[in-house]
Amino acid sequence: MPNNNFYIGYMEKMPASFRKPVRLFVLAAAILFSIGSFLIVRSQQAFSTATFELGQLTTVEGILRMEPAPMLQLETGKDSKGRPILQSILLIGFGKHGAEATLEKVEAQRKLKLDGKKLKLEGTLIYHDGKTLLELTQKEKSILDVLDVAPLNRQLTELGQISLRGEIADPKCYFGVMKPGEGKTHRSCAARCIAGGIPPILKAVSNDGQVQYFIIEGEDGEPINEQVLPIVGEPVQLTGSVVLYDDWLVLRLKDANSAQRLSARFMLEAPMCNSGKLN
Amino acid sequence: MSVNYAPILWNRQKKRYDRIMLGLITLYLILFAAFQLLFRPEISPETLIIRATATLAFLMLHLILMIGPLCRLDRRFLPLLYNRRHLGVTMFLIALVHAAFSIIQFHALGDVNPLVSVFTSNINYQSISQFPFQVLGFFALLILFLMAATSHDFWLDNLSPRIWKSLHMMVYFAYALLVMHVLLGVLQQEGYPAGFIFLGIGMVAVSSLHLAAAIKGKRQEERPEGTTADTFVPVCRVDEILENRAKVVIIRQENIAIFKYDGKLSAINNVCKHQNGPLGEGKIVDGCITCPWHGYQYLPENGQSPPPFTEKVATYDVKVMDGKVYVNPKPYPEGTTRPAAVIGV
Ligand code: HEM
Ligand code: FES
Repeated sequence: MPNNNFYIGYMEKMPASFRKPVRLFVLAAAILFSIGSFLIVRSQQAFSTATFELGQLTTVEGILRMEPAPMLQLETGKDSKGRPILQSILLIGFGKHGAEATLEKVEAQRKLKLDGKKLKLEGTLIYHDGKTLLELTQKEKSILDVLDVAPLNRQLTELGQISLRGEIADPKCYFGVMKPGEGKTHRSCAARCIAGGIPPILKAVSNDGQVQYFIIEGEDGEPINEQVLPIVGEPVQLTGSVVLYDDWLVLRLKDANSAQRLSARFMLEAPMCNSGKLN
Repeated sequence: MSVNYAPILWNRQKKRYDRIMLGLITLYLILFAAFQLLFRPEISPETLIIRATATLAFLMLHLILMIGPLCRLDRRFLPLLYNRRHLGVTMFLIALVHAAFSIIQFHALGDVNPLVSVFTSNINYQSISQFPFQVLGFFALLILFLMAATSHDFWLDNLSPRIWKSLHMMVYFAYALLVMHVLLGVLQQEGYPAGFIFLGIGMVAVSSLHLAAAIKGKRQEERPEGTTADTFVPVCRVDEILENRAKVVIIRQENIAIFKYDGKLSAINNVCKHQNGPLGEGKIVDGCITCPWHGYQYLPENGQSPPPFTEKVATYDVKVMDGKVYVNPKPYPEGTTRPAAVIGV
């Protein structure tokens, strides 16, 4: 190297011979950044088309049900036999919290029971794959009106013992607030939401690729949020009795500890079977 | 340079460095967002920010780690090293945006403190495949923070160069943590082969450059054997040393730089007091040995930084006989004046 080629950072100019490697490095970085951003974006898995109408409040009216989880029932029409067709909108609290706390506060303020009453609610809609949720964005102020109505009959169907394979997620994130709203990167958040009182759901996929969602609760319909926390966001097989509450399936587990962990490879390779006996 | 940190002033070169750096960062963020909107428009804005900043910071960390060995392989990369501090601090800030958004997105508005949640929301610490990958990112961020916070020369002086250097060597530990953060997080979730290939290329690039630089360094080391202790050891011919430049030798663990200037030879310890830069790869500028890394200066005859600076390195005795250079590897206390050896005709 020629003797005059010496660079000190505080020099105003670098020697001519230093320019080429430095430019080369900058050019390589520019190419790396351009190609890298393209390849990284392209290699991501597709995101779901789930929607969270952030910043947009919607008013809905319906009958409040506290079982199996707080939901608002809307009559959307009648079937051929003249029975009402119901749509149940799952209610969720603000942030990573269930709706119960908010509803209980309103009950205390108004000194009445809300279960079975007609409510006018204002909140943010979350929807995906045929399911709709409403976030009580403004907490107690989300409950605009409470009216007495004649009770609507619920349609309950016992479907018996079933083994299901899938992943436990929190419905708020899964159905719209976060993308991805499931899997390992989302596990912490799902655990936080479920610990905060949002009902856990099982996303089960059958052999033919059909997806079904189940609200998870204990054998007698009690919440078991704490018990399922260790297996949230992992491929699992759960066995319990299934009940259809109007338009929501509910999986009642005898014991969350009886859940079987499945290997991650299994999730990638095979869709889950949604019925059949445990082997 | 304890007094006024003279070499760390703003100049044209440094401003250019920062402009290019910010330009490349902007390029990446704009391209990432544009490709995202083009190919995966369903992404949520939070995930876009989390992923764009994460991948940018991680790419920058790779570049930062490659600059050191590149400079050892070819000195002409040195201008990249000089302002690496800005690169590092900026990378930390970008990683901080990623971490802050992740913590808000995944842990805030819940039933416990978000920072507690980072550690308790996934408790599969006993499992490898289900390990809480966010915790790995947290500790990496902590290391990057300590490095960024102590990157100014004020801390170098106050922590002592040895502690400072070991703190900054932890960047390799942070890198390892981040590799696992990515492997056990997003790559496990997405399972795409391209991701594993990118990560593999990055790791190979960083480690092979370090290996190449280490091999080159070993090859260049000259370790002439002395006959007995405390005596002069032959080094090379006088004309093998260029004017105002040095020859570096390691004799009995002593790392010595022998400089030739103004018809004289002087020997000082090769290790710069600032960040252990190789003084022997420096040059005599305005009568002072000038470190090639950040420009700290030492007088050849006594190894002292010119006033008002107070850095001192050890000195050695040199002599010239029959056109050959000899050095005595016994060090004098740092800053001891030793007469230069005059090169006869
Ligand atoms: C408290 C500290 C941190 C937390 C909580 C955290 C959290 C996360 C989360 C949740 C993801 C997955 C996001 C997704 O779904 O895409 C992720 C990915 C990633 N993180 Fe971190 N992180 C932290 C620190 C860091 C640091 C310091 C870096 C350094 C550059 C880093 C680099 C990455 C990279 C490269 C990815 C994968 C890129 C991607 O998301 O597509 N993280 N991190
Ligand atoms: S000036 Fe920084 S190492 Fe010598």
